[in-house]
Amino acid sequence: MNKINLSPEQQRVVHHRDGPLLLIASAGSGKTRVLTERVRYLMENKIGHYHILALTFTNKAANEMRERLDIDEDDNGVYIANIHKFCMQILCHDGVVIGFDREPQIFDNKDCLDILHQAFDSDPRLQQILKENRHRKDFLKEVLDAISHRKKKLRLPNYDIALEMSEKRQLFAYLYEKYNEFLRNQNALDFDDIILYTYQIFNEFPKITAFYRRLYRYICIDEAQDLNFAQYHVIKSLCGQEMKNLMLVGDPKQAIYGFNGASSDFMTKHFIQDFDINKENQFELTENYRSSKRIIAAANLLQPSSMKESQAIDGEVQAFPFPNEEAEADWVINRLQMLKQEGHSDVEGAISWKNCAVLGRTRYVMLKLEEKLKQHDIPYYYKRTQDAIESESELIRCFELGMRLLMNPQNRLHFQKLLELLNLDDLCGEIDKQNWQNGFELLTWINHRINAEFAQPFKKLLTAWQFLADNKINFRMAKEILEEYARITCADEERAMICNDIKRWSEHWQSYIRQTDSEQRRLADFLTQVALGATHQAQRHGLALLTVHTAKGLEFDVVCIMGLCEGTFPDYRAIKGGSQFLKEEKHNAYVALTRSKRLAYFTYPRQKVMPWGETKKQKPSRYLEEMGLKYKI
Amino acid sequence: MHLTLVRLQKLIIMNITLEEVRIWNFRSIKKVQVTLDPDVTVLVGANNTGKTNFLKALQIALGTHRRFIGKEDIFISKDETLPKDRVAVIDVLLVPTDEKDNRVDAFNDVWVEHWGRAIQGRAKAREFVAIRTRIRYDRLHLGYRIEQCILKEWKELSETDHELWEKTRLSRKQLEVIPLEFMDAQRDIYEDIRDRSSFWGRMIADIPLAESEVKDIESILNDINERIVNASDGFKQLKDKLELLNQTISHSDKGVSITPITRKLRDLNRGIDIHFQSDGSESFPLSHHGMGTRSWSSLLTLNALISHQTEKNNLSHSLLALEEPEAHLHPHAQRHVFDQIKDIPGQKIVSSHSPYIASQANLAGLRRFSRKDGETQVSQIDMSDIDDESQRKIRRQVLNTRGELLFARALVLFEGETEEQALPIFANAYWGKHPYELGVSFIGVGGTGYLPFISVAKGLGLKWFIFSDGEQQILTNFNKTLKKAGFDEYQNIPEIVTIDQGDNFEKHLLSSGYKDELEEVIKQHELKTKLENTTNVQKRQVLENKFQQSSPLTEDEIKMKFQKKGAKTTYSPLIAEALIKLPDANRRFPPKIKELFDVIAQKLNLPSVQHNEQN
Repeated sequence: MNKINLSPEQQRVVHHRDGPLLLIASAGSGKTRVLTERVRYLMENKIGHYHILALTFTNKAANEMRERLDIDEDDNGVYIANIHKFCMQILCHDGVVIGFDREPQIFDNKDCLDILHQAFDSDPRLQQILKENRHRKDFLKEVLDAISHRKKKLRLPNYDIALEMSEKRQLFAYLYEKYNEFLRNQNALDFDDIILYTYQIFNEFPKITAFYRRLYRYICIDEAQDLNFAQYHVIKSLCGQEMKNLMLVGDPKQAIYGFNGASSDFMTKHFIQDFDINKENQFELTENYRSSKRIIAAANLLQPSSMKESQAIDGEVQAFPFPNEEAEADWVINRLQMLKQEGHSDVEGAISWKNCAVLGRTRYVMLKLEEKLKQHDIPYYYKRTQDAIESESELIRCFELGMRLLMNPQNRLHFQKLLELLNLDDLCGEIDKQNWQNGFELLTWINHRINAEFAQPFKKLLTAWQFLADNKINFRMAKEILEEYARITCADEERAMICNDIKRWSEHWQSYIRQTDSEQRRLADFLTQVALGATHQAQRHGLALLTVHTAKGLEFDVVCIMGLCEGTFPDYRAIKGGSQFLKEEKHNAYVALTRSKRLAYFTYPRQKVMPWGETKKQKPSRYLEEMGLKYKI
Repeated sequence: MHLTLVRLQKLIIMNITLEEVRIWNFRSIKKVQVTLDPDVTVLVGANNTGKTNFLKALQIALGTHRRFIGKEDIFISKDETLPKDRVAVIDVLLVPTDEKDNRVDAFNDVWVEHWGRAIQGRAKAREFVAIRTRIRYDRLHLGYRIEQCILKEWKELSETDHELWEKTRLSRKQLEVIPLEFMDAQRDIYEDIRDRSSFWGRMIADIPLAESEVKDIESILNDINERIVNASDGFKQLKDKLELLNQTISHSDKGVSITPITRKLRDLNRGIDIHFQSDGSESFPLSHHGMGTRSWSSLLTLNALISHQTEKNNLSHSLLALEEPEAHLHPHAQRHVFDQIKDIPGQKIVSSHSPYIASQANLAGLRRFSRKDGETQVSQIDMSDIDDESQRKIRRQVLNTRGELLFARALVLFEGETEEQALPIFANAYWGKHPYELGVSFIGVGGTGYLPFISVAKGLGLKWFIFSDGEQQILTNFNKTLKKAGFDEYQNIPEIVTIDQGDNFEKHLLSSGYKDELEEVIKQHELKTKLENTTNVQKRQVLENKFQQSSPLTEDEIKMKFQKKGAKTTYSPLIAEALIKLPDANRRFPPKIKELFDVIAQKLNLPSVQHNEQN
């Protein structure tokens, strides 16, 4: 896009140079474009010497921005990434100062639960507590949430240990300490730690922070309304007292991550205060270039006076009730198929599946639809936020665990899991006694002790791992060895399972090699990128089924929003939670509606069959009335 | 206005220094670690000791023009076949410096922008950029390949350090900013101006003319060509005959055109020539000048290119690797050329065989290359051992006049003039060769200040020997200095030969039974001097008779004769010449001289004296 297309308002933002800048940009106002153009402007019209740091909410948004700027990762003096990826890079580069001698390994939620178990097991007193608890699963979740909460508040384990507090809080603090000890002993960290430790480095090692300040003279944050406490403070500590060239872009009306501790206050209050931003440097873009008149009108009813229309196209916003979920799903399919065949006067050109999306407050709303799409053989995809790989075949599970150990031979958890799979449980303690130089030595050590039944596959695995352990990581060779093994030795069912598992890993690998130079590929980096979700390749073929949260930042000509009944959308938890939660819930509705460029259809079933078989009557969502939609009852 | 200011800023702030280079397994180099001077480093050493290999390694690591590499570039020791997995490694350490070339903690904005995350040492705020270059056999490509990465640490070397391989991204763009220009000894401006890829060719490659201007100029060139061709019968004839050729192979009318001068602007280099005029002579084209001028001009072109690039890119630390700048130049010009090299902006690494050049270098910037068991070794002087006064002394007494010591294998140090005159003569007779041929330099230190010279010798990896008088006071002081420098007492160091108790060189000769020879030399000399001043034939006869009949001198009288001003320098070569002609081979070398030479022969593995006698 070229600069001629920028409105005078947009241009003022793009040409802003020094000093903090707040940009409140409503849906469809060209937020991403303005941000991208500003980065381009700062890149092409340099005064002085610097790099630019642009942090996005998702990997996808980062990729899109790079594509628009036509740059590689970390090239041309612009570093674009989501905040976790950025922080992980800091930890890999500078983690040594807080005790990470080698690249730390990210443990996913399931791993973290296991770590918590280990923490409980390590102390008889804790064992007793867990044993006595009747709702063990909930209790463990509560502990994990409490730990996560502390980390999100940027509190290290020793933070409040000295403070007086309730017995329960003392217990949680102690568990946090234990849990972290286990993680750290294994050179591992959880997702919250990525931000927390980066904050620790920035805070405790001013020389390092000063270096990054010298490097990144301009910092831009996208989707700032969804920053949480930890994220805001890690950015603030990076900026320190002297660095003022921070730009936050977002739309408070689209803040939908409150459950994650996010709040648009960081953008609209703290940022203004902390950086002392005067009125001239607070910009607002309200003109919606994306959506049709009707959509904007409805959105403005939901969020009064939020947007100015700029499209001449009327579009459609309608609501339809149906007797049940089945009829609701049928109608959606029929409507979309009709539009696809006949087109629509408000949509230029033909309408294809990829111009359409179906949204739900949660995934469950679309279960019936998914079923029907399968029946009709209509291509669709479901977009997930994070896709933890879980292999089903034993062979690939071993392979996966071995890869983790190759990256990190201190990884006690996966060492133990691997031994369990191999019926070698009694060797678990050896990790403390042996002194392996690297992961491959560890795996070779296991190979010498392997039981006869696993000897053959394990030998193959070892050959495969060897191709990854080397400096020249050769994933293709490893893959072929395993596929060949499966072809020769395994029965069809097992072979199919193995092939599926391998395929999943191959997809990640394919995505990884597209993002990296062959020279810089390493197993550790690959696994880190997989854990960060950076290799998650959304297959975008067919009709998109999205939750409101996964639809963030996307746009479609036609959007159907299903399940508009009280308790579903707004969610019953929001209703129960009160005004604060309802406020954010309305943001969800607003986000859902503004994903549409031309046509938006709200649907709901008058009754629902509950999972336990009961039928329950449904009331139409309050949002339908708020948007002034007439619907037949 | 604003932009020019920025540009200026960029030009001023570009201080970095290539501080250290480490090389493993490259050509003759198994492992070396060399620190470089921020201004000029001069590599000295005999032929074939690895100086050029060192420069080539730098060229591979930082050079703009990548060379082909092959198995010849990988080190093998004697009787070894090359293992395929042997990897050559070249590490370079770049550090920030201020305008005065002092190491500073942080890179400036320009470099931070350029290197970005490649900058290490952040936590300690002692920043550096370390680039590792590997030459590795690639089974896939069936050949050797170059790859580069950033090192996170620069620590003391251990045996396996060179195996480390970090996968930190490094782009070509990042490397191109510190272009290393390599200029070998075969440079010749006459060739350069015809070669587009030479420094000359690159300088004139881009002429910022608009397309229309180019067209204009080329049409003028065309006109000129036509005028020349039309004016010359010869050209016309040639053209007509050549057109016949055209008729047989193609049927178009056009085809043959003769252009006495360049027709296209981009072929500018084809017709270029430079004319030099020396004082009062005709101006000659380059081809008529000798290789000295041509080589020198080539060097000056490089200077121009570097200045040009520095200005154009705003961001450029120039590194110049220069092989034997003295090539084809006479001694005076050699000194002069070094001055010009020093004036080239940036860091210079110069290999040289010229004592004139080496002697002009700073002691701190000298690196001596040698070869031990086929492996290149590099040594340098530890400047902390040498105070300013000693430095001046070394400069004054040795480097300014005797730069060749830097190319020697061994130094023989002694106090004064007597030995300086006599020892080379004895040595020549002892080995049957001039000591220079053996790589032995004789140096009078003018007193007893041996220590700075020992430091120089030690630093440069030269063997050293001392031939000292035996006066008690001198010897006591001598042991004190030795102790200070961490040496044993002189009595226990075979390389130190001292004349017996209380004696000096003359006394040593007397006490060793050379009284007659001394007397003869003195008398002969006195006679000769007197004869030279007398033209009268009768008087001359009287003098000669007197000489024949003169009574023998006592030992004390002889000693007295040596006390006279200038006597030592006069007599010592004469005595040496006289002794080496003695019929009795065993008496040709006084005992202490023989002792010294025997030690030298043994330590340097030189052929023994007996061997020479047989010849």
